[in-house]
Amino acid sequence: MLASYSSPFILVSALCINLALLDFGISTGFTRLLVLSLAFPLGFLVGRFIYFRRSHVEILYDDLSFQIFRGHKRTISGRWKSYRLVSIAVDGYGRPDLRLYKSIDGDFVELPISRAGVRPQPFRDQVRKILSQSSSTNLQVVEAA
Amino acid sequence: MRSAVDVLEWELIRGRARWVADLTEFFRDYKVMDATFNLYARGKTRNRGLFLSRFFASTVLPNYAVSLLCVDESRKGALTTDKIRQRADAVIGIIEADDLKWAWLIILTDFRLTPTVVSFVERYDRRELGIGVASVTSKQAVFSNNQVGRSIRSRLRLEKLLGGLTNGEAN
Repeated sequence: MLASYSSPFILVSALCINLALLDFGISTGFTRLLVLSLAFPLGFLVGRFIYFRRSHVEILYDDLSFQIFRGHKRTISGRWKSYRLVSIAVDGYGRPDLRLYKSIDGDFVELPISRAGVRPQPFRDQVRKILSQSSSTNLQVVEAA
Repeated sequence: MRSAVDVLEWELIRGRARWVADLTEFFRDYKVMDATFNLYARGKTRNRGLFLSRFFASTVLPNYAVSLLCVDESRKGALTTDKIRQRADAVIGIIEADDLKWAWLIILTDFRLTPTVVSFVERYDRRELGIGVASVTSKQAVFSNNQVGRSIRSRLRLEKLLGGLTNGEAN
């Protein structure tokens, strides 16, 4: 995910550096290669900044509630006790996410766990346990790799 | 240690059934009437895909609702025809309630399959329900002799899946 955000910026910064080098009359040699290689850290930093601002998914949960943050926005939040059933739902791209139902075939919310790099089956089993018994309140963080 | 049901579920999530059905949602310990199924997967016969396969699917394939139910009868005594019949009746109830076109029923056991069980499963002939019974220890498997049942062997490749289980996973 981070690579797909960074690669266009690496390309753009390489083009910009190349144009600047041509303006300064540096068209050959080791200095040109060295300066051009700066495109990688530069593009990566820009891509990383945009990724964390817009797409990075973070799931915060304890035994009582959960919150999903996408970038800097909180997109979904709720209390486990509002839900009765949990399933693994595969989206259109084959990514397994978690679906929480208030009633069988009723309203549901979808937790994008595939974006957070969580293994679906162990996490689903943990949520099933929480749904059946909610007690302690240790805050845990599941973060994208 | 992962159970045989965990392994089957993971393979289905990864698209093992894609040639027959696109199973998109997976429930564990799903209760229906008096019966509890260790795994309930539901989906449609029209699969996803990119460009050509999606075009092919949307123009040629019907979009029937289908499901797969799996129950692990290990450590619950020998598997009998009565137990299979009860499970089959529960699945027929699900087919009717959810308006499904067909369903797969997979029963796993840790006992060897008796000739009575083999004969019962092979003679099962309801078109909308395919039954597969397999022993996770002896790796024996038997399937109902209808189209849906035969697809458990040919498309789901249940025997191959069980063959790949280690003893720890099988138990």
